Amino acid sequence: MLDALLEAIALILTPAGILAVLAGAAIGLTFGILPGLGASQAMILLLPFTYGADPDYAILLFVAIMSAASFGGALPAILINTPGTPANVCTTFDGHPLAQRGEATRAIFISGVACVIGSIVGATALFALIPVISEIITAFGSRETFWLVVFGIAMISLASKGNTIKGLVAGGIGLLLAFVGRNYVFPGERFTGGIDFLYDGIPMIALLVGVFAVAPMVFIGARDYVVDPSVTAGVVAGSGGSYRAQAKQGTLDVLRRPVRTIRGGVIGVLLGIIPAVGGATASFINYLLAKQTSPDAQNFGSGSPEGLIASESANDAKDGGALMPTLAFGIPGDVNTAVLLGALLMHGVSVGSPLFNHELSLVMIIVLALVVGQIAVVLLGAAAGPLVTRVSTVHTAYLVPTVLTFALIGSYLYRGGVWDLVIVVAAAALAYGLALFNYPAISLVLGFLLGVEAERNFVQTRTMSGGELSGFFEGWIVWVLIGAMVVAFLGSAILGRRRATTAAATPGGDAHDTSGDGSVTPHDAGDNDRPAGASTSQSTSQVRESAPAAETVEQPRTWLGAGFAAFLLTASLAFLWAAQGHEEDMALFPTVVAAVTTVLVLIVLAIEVLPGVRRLAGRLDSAAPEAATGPAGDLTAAALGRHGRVLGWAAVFVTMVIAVGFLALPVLVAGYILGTQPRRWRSALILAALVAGPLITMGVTSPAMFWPGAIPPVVPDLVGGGVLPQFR
Amino acid sequence: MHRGRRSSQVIAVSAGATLLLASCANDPGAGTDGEFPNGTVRIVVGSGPGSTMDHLARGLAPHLQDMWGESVAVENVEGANQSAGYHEVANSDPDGHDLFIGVHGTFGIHEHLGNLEPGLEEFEWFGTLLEEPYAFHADADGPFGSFDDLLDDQPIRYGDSGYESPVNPFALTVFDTLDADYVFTPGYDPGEAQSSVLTGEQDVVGRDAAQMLRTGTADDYEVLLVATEEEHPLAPDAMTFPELEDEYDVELPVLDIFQLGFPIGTTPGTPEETVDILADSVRELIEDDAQFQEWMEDNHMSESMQADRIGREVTQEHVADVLEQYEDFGVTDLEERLGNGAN
Repeated sequence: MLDALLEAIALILTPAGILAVLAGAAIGLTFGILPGLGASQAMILLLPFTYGADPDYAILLFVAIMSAASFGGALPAILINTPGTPANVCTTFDGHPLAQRGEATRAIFISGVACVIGSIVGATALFALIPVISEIITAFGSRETFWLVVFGIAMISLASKGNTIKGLVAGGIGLLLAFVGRNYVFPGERFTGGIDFLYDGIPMIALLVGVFAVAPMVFIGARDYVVDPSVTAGVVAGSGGSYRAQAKQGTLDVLRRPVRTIRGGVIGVLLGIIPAVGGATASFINYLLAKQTSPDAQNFGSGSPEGLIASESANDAKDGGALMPTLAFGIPGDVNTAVLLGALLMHGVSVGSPLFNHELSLVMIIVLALVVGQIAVVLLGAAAGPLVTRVSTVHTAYLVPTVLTFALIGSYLYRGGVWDLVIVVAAAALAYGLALFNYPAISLVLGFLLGVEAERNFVQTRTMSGGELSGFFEGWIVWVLIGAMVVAFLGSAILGRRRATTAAATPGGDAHDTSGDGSVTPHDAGDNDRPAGASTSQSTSQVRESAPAAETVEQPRTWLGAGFAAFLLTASLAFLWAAQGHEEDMALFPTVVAAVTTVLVLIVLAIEVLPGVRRLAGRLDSAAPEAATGPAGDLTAAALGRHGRVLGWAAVFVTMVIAVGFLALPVLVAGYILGTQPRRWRSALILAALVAGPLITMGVTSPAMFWPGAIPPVVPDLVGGGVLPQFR
Repeated sequence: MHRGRRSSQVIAVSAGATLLLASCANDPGAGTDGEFPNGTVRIVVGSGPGSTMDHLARGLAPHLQDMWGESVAVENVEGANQSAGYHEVANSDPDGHDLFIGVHGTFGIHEHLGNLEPGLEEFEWFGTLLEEPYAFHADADGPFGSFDDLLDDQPIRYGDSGYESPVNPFALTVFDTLDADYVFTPGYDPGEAQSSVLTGEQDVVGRDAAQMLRTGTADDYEVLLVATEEEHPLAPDAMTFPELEDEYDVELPVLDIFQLGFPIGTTPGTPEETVDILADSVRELIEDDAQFQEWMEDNHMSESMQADRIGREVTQEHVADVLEQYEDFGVTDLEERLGNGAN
């Protein structure tokens, strides 16, 4: 273990290691600052570009990004009252009031030092687990792993935004999508519709890029700025007191409260271990606990350093907790660890016993990266505070085509599959629909990532038990997992009833959404031209203000929601029907999943069209206050038109890239900017040139990685002449 | 109307800009002096980084590059159980600049399932880079100190990736010959199948003899049986096929399909002289290149990478043998046969 630790330290101290940490910190900071984006988007956009790189450095980069983004998100939360990530919602409660008092630098340092201590607590917990992890993993055979997968999907659905039934539907659809292609247990392929390129299944990277990178752009691109410039008009960074004095004060604020800071970290770790508990939940629960136990409770919400510490320490420590189930069992704790799991799989790293037994140095790299990434971002962020307003008010005309460009190139690079680009747009459209109608996309992704594992363990358990159903229910671990699920669902129902009672007693009562799963929803993405971060008091009030208007579109909402549910019903029925065409072994698990999903979608349909059923669901489901059982997004024709425009551009990008190749991208970037901002010729040309330069270099130096387009050759090896693989 | 005109302008300018940008680039095409190689050579493998095939390709590439004075790039074309990479090279220009490293067993099964176009025997194979016998590995700290112990504990629990795994013909033949009861559990990832032995979920896993040495886990496993006629230098304590025949009075021939072999080839239609240059180059590395030999040693390949397995004719014959043996063995009903494990 010591050898592995020293090996990890040596790797991090190499020039490439230092570069990876600094790059990860800078990227995480930037994406964290941008509301609506976060670590998952940064990682997913970079993931394909690291293909073929040394996995140690790639994972170091990703963990540094993951660690850095939440502090990045704290900066706009403090400075402009807009959390960069859902995990920074509580940071606004005391961080922004401090900034308004002219103590922005102090608030940034409180946040930074609390983040570092939180990450140290998280990393220490992960480190402490290593000696016993092999024992724990050994106790999980196929039977236990099967139930752990079911537990993970159930918990994600229960805790995510949207409602539980819709979460389970999304998880079921994700599982079904994972069954497409060559079967990893039985000979033959399933659900490909005869399409050759689906033989290896739906490409994971393309799906993740579509869901986590492109779908948020549909909402972000529907407005002019990532954050409305009016929000930043009163920015107070740098004002009040000397920088050094405030920095010292902020640091001492944290160091003088070691117990509270470390306690916040421990709570973050414990909550992080539970699948689906995001940083937002961790920070919110710790914030409430700190408020209840603090002698300074009356100042919480008006610039209390203690409140800010409570939010940030738990928020960062939960990464260490979330990594435990990810690394030990391949069950991601949240959306960031889901993407990190994808990165580990892409780099050929097997999680579980192989990782802890044979690649312990990589585990140590992850542990250390949590801390060093955090330290690096705090140093960067402390200096970058004044730049926050500039970055977060970037015009979406530049952001959207840039993200699309990265997304498409990255998806292609993963396996050189030009048709994968079609999957990117299809996944983005599906994720857009899910977000619009309040289905948690993270459930779909988790189902997709765990689908093969679920079936594999299902088949193995069934094989080893000689086909006996009772074989699935042997062993105390299985019963603990089943019991935990029952308790969680019953608890959810009880909470739902209490919430309904409270809401009835308090007109206009609202509860903060603390799921913070990082998946895109129109609220997160700041739909309707309002700043992102729906969980802030600011945006919550905007939601309330817009409620009467929403009533006027109740009918279209109902029928559009029902239409989307009908689409999902058709999909699950198609899987159910197609499964019957296979032999029993290959058909069994998909049939079970498709049947359960079909029943759940039917319930959703009933909720969508029958008000009585909707009210009943709202009372039973704590994750689904009545409003959330219906659509979440703005379904006015104007909003749908804005979203459709961005989705249309994404489709044009894909079509043009397939036909003309990567060198269509600079033109498309310029085209998008000019289509949105007709007078910005200069900016369009500069950004196009910035895209074109690296692409031409790539085409010349790495032709194997460059897609020249399917049209007849125009410029050898750069434009035209690419051999388009058979689609069918 | 105004919007339409603006769109037209944008499209026209876009098209012009594309051509302008594209024309700025130089033609990176290969030279045309007619000698081989006269441009970048790429070695395609059908799996991701980290596999044995990928490892072989990345071991060969720098040494071939030094020898030829041309760039040699490794490209991972994953998909369709390695056949995507095969088809990529099979459909390239037949000039020897595109090489492919596969697995004899996997492609033998593909061929019999009709998945390859052009067929396996049309491909210009020119060497088997590495060949090692399959072996049964058990937990070194587990209850099985020998193959006899394993047979005493029937039904034997044996797990692997799936019914199509090239390890299965070896396992199935051994179990059927000894009339042993077994339960085959499919669905493991390769690494998981090995771990399942250490966790006690499975009794044995079939892997090539040097697999655990390369992954640094040899101490964790006990090799019980190896598909060789003679004692294997990497598994000296394991029972061999002749020993097993003597002890249990059965006949168990060592077939080519009980070996994990990695053939290398190039595009069908490539001139014979070019294919011979490729074979000679690889043979030269194995026989004469001290640095490459050191690399082989470091990777436990000195015993299994033999120069006499390099060459067009010897490899084509080997491919034909593998195909014939798979035909005799039968691969289309593996699921049914493995599912009937308990005799």
